[in-house]
Amino acid sequence: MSGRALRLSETQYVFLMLGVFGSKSFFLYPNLILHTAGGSYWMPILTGLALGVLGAWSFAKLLALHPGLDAFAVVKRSLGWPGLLLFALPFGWYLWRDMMLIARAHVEIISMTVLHTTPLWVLHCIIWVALFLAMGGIASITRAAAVFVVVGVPLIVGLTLLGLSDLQFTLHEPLRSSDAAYLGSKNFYASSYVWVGFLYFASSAQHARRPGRLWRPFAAAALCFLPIIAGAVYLPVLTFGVGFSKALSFPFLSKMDSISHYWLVVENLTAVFISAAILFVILTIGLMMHCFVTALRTMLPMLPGRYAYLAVGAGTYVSALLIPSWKWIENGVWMDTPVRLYLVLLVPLFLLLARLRERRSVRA
Amino acid sequence: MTGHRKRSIWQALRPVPGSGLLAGLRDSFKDMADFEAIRLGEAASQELYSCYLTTLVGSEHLIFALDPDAERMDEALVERYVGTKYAEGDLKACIEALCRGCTVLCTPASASGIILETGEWQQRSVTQPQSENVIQGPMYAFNECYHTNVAMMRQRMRTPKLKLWETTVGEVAPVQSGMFYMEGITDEGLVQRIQQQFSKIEVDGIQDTGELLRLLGARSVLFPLAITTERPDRLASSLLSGKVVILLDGTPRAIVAPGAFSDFWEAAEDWYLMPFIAVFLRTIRFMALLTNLFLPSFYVAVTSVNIDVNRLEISLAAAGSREAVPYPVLVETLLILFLLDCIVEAGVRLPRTISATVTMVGGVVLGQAIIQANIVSNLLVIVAATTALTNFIVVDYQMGLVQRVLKYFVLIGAGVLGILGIVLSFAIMVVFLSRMESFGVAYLSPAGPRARVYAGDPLMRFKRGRDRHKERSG
Repeated sequence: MSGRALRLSETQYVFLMLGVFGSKSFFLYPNLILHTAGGSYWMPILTGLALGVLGAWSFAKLLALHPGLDAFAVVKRSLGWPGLLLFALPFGWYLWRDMMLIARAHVEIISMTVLHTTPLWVLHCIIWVALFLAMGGIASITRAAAVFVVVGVPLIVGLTLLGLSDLQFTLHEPLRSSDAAYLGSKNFYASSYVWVGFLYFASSAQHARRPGRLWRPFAAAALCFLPIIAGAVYLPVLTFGVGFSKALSFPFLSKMDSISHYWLVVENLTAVFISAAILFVILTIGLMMHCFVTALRTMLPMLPGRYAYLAVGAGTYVSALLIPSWKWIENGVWMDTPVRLYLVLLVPLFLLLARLRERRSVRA
Repeated sequence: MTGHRKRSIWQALRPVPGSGLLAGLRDSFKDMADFEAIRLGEAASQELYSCYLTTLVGSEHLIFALDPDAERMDEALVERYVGTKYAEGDLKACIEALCRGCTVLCTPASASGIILETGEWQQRSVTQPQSENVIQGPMYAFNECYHTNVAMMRQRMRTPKLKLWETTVGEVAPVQSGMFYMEGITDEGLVQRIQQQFSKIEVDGIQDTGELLRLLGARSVLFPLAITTERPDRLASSLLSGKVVILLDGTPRAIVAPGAFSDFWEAAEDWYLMPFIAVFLRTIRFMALLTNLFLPSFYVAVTSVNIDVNRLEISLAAAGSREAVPYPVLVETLLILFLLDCIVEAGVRLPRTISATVTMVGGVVLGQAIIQANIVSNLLVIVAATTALTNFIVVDYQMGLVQRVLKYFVLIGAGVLGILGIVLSFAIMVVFLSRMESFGVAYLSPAGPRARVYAGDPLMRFKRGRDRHKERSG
């Protein structure tokens, strides 16, 4: 099936987004939300969701300017080379950092919980699997997404449901407290990394029948994943209490470790959780690599695709290996926040500029 | 015989200066003991010869050879030929026809001969399927004769919409091949694509559809890219789903293209059973696939790498059962799986009368002895037996072989990275499959982007049926 004829349905975009949420929602997000000021954890979660949908809507409107083109080509056509550089360079930087951080964070989790003695350079092989996926193109990524989501999401849902056991609702009262102090907390802004998955539509928008509606798959996936994300934050709180949960690096994983039922064949549910999460990580890194190479090839059309993928894969592998500690990952997510917000805020700005330009040309 | 037909026969045998069809045939078939060129007599001042391969022709040629009155060899003799079909052909066509079992009538000076369809092919009778048995459904299968197989398809699908495109494959030993497709249902692009692939084939000869599949560009390192089947009912169902069917002379198995991974888990019987039963059976097959691929690996992972994943009781039982085993779990598992594959292979290759004994000796006696000798643990024998059993639930033989190979791949992954190794092996397999295409259609269809030519899945059938119902109800 040629790339030109390829059409992706909204359901397939939902699958892609479910994979992105699955890879981003667990490794740092619960910790960041628990450390936001105010203690009303449902508020930063829902605010993040609402802002994410708003960002997806504006991004979809940008993509709708020139249907049949990816985001980079749309920006290049609308705003020329300066606009492309202002969009693609920060976007590429953000993608590279995001790939590196997601890969390393999950490798650290694996190393801490399941494979204590396996060298990190072996565990980072997930990057090569993701590279293999990315080299197959967006059609391959979408097909793999369907399988990974069908396998992974039921496991994650099952684990969340199992997490409902042994809850003490008195440990976090009142549950419905509303305190807007989280808006002044840097952790809230750092946690926005979960809600910007729509940016990865940049390299696949040309396959949508109606790019202007691409916010809907994002919103659908976000709403589907909302109970799981809320579970990742609230289940540890309602099991261990707020203070103890805040002290844990991986509150959700600790919650998984605490589950024990005589009828469960598997005792270590963390291993099951990581198995599902790794599928999503491979999918998300593959999608990001595809985005990265698309951005590169828009700027350098002569660049051979195969070598570009290999270079991106090797670069991600080496840079992820060079991350020295978990603290560095936490700082990395915070330090990327300005770039992330710039990309999300820049999109409406691009949209405005493009529309103004169109109106001028119509008047002329 | 009509006057027109008679005239055209003698027209073909008229002498042409410088031509020598008979000499050409004798030269081509020299040193062939079963080649005969019998002088029938004279007609129109020319000697008339009947040429054929005695091992391939039926009795019709004797109409000429046994005529006692050679003096009266004229048009009347030829008129006695009551064959169903004849054609005129030059030297090349005559050689090819003789190899097919035809009889060639010619004169020493003619440039072309009359090709009479007198072939009597030796073929197996139409019997039950050898590898695709069903309890409910048609009980006959293809044999090795191309014409018989084509006839069976025509009997099954009595419609002019069933089109047949024919060609030959092979430079030295040409073999007839044909492609069936349904007009108005099959994508024309798919038909053209396969026709183009046929035109690119350059090979001396071909023996089986497996070989043909690779020559048609369906190159794959491991996974079969199209189903091969010997059941006409399965082919008819595939044709109605928009696929094409490729037959090859000399083999009972036909190719159904394009193929997707999910097709290999669909038995012919599934369409004849109640839908829920069919879904249940397919689920069992998929579960068997997962068990076959991952059970030995899971055993290795939870007994050597991720010991804490399992419940303590099971871990203790596993440790207890392999207390006296001196090898690492991975080596122990590789050993028993290798042994198992040897038994399976021996069972397939040996004559049926002996294979039952070998399976008994290999499975029961060797299994018992290997436990008593503390080479493998009790638990592993259970795992290995389950793995072997689930391997035979696979509908398609080719896919069963793939599973046998992949099991080792996952096993190595589990030996190195435990549960994570199993997950990574699974991810690699999915990525590998997601990149594959069969005749332009995604191998993982219907997962992911829907392919235009792949409209055969149950959902699409349901939609088509619903549309028809709407049309009828106005």
